[in-house]
Amino acid sequence: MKTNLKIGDKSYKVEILEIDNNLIKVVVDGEECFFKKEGDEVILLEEGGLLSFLGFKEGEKDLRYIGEEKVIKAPIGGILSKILVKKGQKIKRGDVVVVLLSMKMENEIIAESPGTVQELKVKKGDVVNKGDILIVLE
Amino acid sequence: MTIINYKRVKSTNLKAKELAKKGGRPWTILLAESQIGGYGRKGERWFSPRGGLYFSTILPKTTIEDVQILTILAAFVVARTIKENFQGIEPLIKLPNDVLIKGKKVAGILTENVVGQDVKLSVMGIGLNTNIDKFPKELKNQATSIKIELGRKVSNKKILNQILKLIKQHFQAIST
Repeated sequence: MKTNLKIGDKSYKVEILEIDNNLIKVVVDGEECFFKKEGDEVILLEEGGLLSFLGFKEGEKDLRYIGEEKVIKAPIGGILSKILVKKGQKIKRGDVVVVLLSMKMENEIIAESPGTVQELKVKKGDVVNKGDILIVLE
Repeated sequence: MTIINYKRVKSTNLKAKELAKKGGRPWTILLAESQIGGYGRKGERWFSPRGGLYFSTILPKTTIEDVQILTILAAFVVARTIKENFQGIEPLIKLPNDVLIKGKKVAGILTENVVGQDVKLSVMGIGLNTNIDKFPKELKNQATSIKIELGRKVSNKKILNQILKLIKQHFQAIST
């Protein structure tokens, strides 16, 4: 549905599309926003959507990982095809740190907690096993 | 299952990852008539003109091991679908994720995951050379299509439905 919306003396071009049963896209003057329908509620999905997708809000602590060592481990064996961070780099939760190519899949490995890269235990092309430490965070 | 149709996309896997990050539901299928930036493992180009079958599926959340098994099974599903529908064609699976006819590539599967402590999202892309009449020079000796092998056009819709049905069945079997 495309329409022109007038608020005060300003006019906006608005387009509303249902792209999945519970997913609505709204385009206002070319800017895209996504809304998710849950029961009677319509929730705005954040830009990038990953944080909301992970199930917690920015700034909130994820209680599952408190007290855990701040390291990023290989979830599966494979070859490191890309290293996307450098020593000393600050990373946010949800940032992709490495790409791990396992025999059948490409895996973007993300940070689950924010921090600064203290040590890179691996380099591009390295073969790792499941559970190997890839990155140590401060 | 919801199927979203596109005329042309850069890559159905990229679209699927984008949608999954924004809360797209599992078993949403992104189907494109052609891809301008189709890719396989290690970013290798996947020739994707009109006529072929290109689709990506947002998978339900599960373990990385289950996704890996499903990816291997997907190659079997594609080969089985070709064999059952088109008599005289003998597809072979080239592990991990290609299907060949007479030594030439007819289908490829690329699964991509976003992983933290657990799997955040998984999309599985399948490119199947169905109704492609000819390939560029550099691919001629490596790739083929069902139409070239069979000498007639085939139904993308029918093939898609069969593949999706079997993939869903396998997923349910391995994740229970």
